[in-house]
Amino acid sequence: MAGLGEKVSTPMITPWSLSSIFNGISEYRKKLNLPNPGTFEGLHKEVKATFLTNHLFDGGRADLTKVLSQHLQVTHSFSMGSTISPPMYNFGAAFIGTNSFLHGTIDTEGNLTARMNYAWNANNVTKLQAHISPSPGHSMLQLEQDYQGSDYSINCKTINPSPVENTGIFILSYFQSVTQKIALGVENVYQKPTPDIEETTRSLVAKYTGTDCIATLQWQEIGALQASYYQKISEKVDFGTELQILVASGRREAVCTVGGKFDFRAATFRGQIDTTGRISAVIEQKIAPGFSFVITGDIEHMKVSVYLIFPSIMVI
Amino acid sequence: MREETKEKILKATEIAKTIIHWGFIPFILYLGFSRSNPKPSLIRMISPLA
Repeated sequence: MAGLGEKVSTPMITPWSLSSIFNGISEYRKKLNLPNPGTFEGLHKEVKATFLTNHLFDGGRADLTKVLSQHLQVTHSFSMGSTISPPMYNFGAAFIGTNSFLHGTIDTEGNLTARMNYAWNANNVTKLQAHISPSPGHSMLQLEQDYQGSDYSINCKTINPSPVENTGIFILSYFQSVTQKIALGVENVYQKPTPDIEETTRSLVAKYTGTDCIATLQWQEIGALQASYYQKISEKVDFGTELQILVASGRREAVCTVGGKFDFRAATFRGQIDTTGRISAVIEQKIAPGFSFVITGDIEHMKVSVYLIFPSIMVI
Repeated sequence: MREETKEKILKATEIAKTIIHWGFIPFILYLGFSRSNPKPSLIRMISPLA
């Protein structure tokens, strides 16, 4: 082992070499100490949390979650009495490992959703998502590689890649903090629905993060603009506004939505109103731990025919 | 790509899909069961009432 001690590192870097320039840039970047901008996908996450997109449902629902050990968790969810969807039973299982996470659900019609995440280290995660349905043409496969650097995020995604038929969707996004509060990003979507058709669309985003507000702007090359603003008013009250403008192929549409979320001691209220005249609200009253009573209401004033108010009971 | 190889790959994907479709949830349950200490009872893993 004497050889090890004799080894003398000789720096071969000349002032003009590429690596020294690269090192200089990375040194400078370290000095700036910029925060990670968050993921590209989670751009509108805060605003969406104040809306009730995922909370509207009708009929009865029961979700039972059983934690069997620190690595295994199963869920049973039943839903029935809905006017839109048939009664459904859904079984889910989740495995939580040190680096890996596996989650699968299967329903009574045989639809399987599978999710697999593997963290190579704290910054680098590979994700696999699949949806397999017994009816042909409804299956989906998504592979994703997510890398979170000190002040940037890179995400590569492919949906339904088929090297045999030479088709698929490929998405590449890059999101970089520019100052302490502003981050800019770009996303490229390359689509190949059939071997002959190729399509590339690009979208540019900007995000401003204040002390308790977040403003985002997303412009898609096809002619869509999405702006959102999130404001935390107090510990228990959040508000979000979103403006979507679509100017493409002769269509000129714009929708503005305002939503608010209020947390009470034993209840959560979410309300939302948009410029198409749609008003929706969800109140969730926690009666006992794991047992809540939910009332959802949804009125579309422009289309008078749609008028829904549903009380439901949820067991979690 | 030759037609034969294409067909072979498509057939293999079809088989893999079937295996994942019916084997994924049992695989998760097996992984969780083998890593758990103490081992949960099988009935508690499957039945919502137990």
